[in-house]
Amino acid sequence: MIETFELTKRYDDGTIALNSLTMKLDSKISCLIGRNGAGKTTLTRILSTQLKPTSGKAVINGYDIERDRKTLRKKITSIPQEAKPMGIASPLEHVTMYLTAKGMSFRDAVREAKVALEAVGLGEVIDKPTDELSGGMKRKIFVAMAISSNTDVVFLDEPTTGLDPISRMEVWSAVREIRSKILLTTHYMEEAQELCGQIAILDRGKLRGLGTVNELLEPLKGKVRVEGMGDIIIGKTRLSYVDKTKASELLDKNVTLKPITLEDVFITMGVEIES
Amino acid sequence: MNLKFILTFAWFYGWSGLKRGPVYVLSYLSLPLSLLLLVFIISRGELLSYGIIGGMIAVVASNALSLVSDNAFFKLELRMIDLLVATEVGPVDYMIGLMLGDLVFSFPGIVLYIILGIILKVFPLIEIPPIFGVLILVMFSTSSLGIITSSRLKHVRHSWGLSSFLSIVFTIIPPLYYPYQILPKIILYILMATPVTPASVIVQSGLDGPSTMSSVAVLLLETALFTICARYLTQWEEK
Repeated sequence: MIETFELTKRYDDGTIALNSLTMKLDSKISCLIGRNGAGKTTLTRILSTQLKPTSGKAVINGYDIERDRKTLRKKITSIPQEAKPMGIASPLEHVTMYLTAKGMSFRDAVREAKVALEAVGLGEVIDKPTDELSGGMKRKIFVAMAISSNTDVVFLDEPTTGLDPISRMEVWSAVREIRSKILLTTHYMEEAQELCGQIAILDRGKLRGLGTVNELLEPLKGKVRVEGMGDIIIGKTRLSYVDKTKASELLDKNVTLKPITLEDVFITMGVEIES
Repeated sequence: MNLKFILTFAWFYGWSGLKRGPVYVLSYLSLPLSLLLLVFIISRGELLSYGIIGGMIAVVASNALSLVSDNAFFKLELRMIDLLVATEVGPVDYMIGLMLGDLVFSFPGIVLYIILGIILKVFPLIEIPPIFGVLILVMFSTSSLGIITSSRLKHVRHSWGLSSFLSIVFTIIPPLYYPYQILPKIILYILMATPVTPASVIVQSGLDGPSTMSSVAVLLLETALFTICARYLTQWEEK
């Protein structure tokens, strides 16, 4: 279980990345969603002991991130957003190196690395230099690290950013192989909807919503999204939400009707913030 | 200290580079071997031993100084430190792993120079272990300087120029390819600030010259000082 209590991070330049964030996450896969700069990566870095909070507290499975830092590092795995493999080394060398950093012997690390790489579909390329692999395959090396490290909690920061749809689905499938509890950050609503049992929506360092997909969709239940008219303006697109029963009245107007998704929850929360 | 990680990281970083990029071995050997040829031709063979001693130390120092760009690349591009923070290893393990990786990568060059040194009777077999000890100190001290230099870089591209610049400054100006005795004392003392100078003085004096003990002391002191500085400048977790 991950709990934060009034967690705040203020950087030296005055930017408040997290603003008194209090929440509790306890799903097999929990997601943090939010726009760029919402505070997702800062929160992940604080929880994975890379960054110190300015104030407040966070506890992971009963371990305080500051007081129990050393113990906690044995119990978590953190895959940073922009982590890249070293082109000249192979997937097997990467995962083995990481597992010895997590405390395994070299022999066990090689064995576990092979199993994990096989599980994520990289069994055929374990000895190839990573320069020769696709973007999706490179990301899967890090997922293999998370699978094989066998820790209590895994932090995955935007694991599919920049990948094509097929590669993303491959990574999702690999993520499901991880036995640990996962905190995954993403700005892909579809990804959150696909993978996460619990979703926290962050905006400008604050928690805007927390719940299952269905709970978050509840306020927009019975509505459809209308593109082409309305008070919500995103770029050059006007949006609004109307009851399904009234949607047929709009068919002769130049609008597009779409079913409600998590993206709409996100949009409506963002609008509330603006107003 | 996490020895299994250090050795595995050296294998990951040094061995993979050696196995899949042997052309880089030719690359780091090209300058010292060219200088060896030049010294041989210009001195009509008289200063050949300096070309060999200098080349051997230069191979180690230039590879160690490549850590300026490698460490910056690992930190800023690959996010290696971010990946390793939430593990059981600390900055010292990471640093020593990098240094040992560089030693592995430099090994073919060191072996080549030792073979040349034995064949051309520059140093006897019995001197190989102490010379190797000196090379390890050069590796640790110059690697630490590389880490110190790269620790505050904000962009990887700055590291490329710095790495080449330092490599030239550390391997051409100090008395590696020429006898240290020809330098005025004051210049020699100034150049002692670079770890390659005491290392060269030790090996050029045949390990038992009048300046050997003081040079060993300087080299040990510099290795300790630079390693400690590198440790404290390696930013592990952020505030």
